[in-house]
Amino acid sequence: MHCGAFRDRHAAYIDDALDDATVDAVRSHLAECGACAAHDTAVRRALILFRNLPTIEPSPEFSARLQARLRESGYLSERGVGGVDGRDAAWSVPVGLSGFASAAAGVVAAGYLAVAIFGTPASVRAELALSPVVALATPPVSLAPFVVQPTVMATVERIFPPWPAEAFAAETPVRVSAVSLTDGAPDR
Amino acid sequence: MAEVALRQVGTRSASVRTDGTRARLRELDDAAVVGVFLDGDERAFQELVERYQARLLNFVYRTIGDREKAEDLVQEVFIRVYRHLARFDRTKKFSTWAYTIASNLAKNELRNRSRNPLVLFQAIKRNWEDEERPLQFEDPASRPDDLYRKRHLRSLVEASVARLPEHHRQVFVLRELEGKSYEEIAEITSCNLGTVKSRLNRARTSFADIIAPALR
Repeated sequence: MHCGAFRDRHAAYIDDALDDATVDAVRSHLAECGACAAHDTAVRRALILFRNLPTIEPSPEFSARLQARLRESGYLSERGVGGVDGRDAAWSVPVGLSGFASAAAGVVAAGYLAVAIFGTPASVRAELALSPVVALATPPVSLAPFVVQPTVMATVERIFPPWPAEAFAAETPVRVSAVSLTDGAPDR
Repeated sequence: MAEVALRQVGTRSASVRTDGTRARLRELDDAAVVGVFLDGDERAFQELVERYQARLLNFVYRTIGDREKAEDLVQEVFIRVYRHLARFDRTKKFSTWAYTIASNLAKNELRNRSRNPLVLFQAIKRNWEDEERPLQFEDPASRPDDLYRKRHLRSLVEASVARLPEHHRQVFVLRELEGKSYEEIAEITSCNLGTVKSRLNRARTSFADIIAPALR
């Protein structure tokens, strides 16, 4: 392999995207060619530094600002505002069959709780006792188990270098340290 | 008292329901979350925002170099996602689509900036002011010389990336920071695979060449 062919394949070599035969050829070339070996080392070191740059986080008001912008644009409805907590308040919740069922169950539970706490007044008991018994047809309830779909979490392949940038930086601070000690501030 | 009890029961059951929905959404893959959103549950959109806001922000920030503007652009990405999600081809990856929108917005921003020197100056000034923050904001546990070296190294790396041509820088960031495959990068940047490989190779070489003298 000559230097030009090596340089053409270098990105794929770094990404482990070459077939075995080509990898062998690249390694043979690196063993023979000092310039290409130095290039390989320089690129790998530079990439370690870049991959270890600290990441930034969205500001705390990012979500609220996005919701406001969506509302201003007329895309986000006002439904659901004043929800359970601030986080979910702005994202509207659809009221479907399950929502209705949940609400009904909540009302029944609350009624039961109220009766349990306060008891039933005699007049109401009497009324209840005289009320005719009405049989209501209830819709069939599905007893099928809730099945969670198999999930495939989208992951981003991140290449973690074998050592942190700081370890590498510690080996290469000569100029950096000299600048910091003598000039007091880095060149801009 | 009955009212309070009633309210508590209502709140608790709604809270349990919300937590359950959040947990369920978190377990779904992107395509399924998109499906939930299209079925009318807008909380699924919030899940998408939570999944991608930091990743898109870092991508855009590394591409344009201005944190505040990057956040604005990422907001714009989500607004476009919200608006056009119904027309999104669900056979494709959601992440690729979101990154494509972000990439286009970042490109437009750089194009506009090149036409408006004042914007560029303001961005540089803002970044410069960031650099002037007291050291203790970074890591109070570190020694001052460590902090100085870290910050200097960081600004060195950022300045070196900023010197890459824009079309090289995007490919470089998508590959090295976001871990995207060549195929995904080709789709996001609307280039063919050969162009992506060539740009990545050049970007890596240029970046190494730019930063190497500073590290000697």
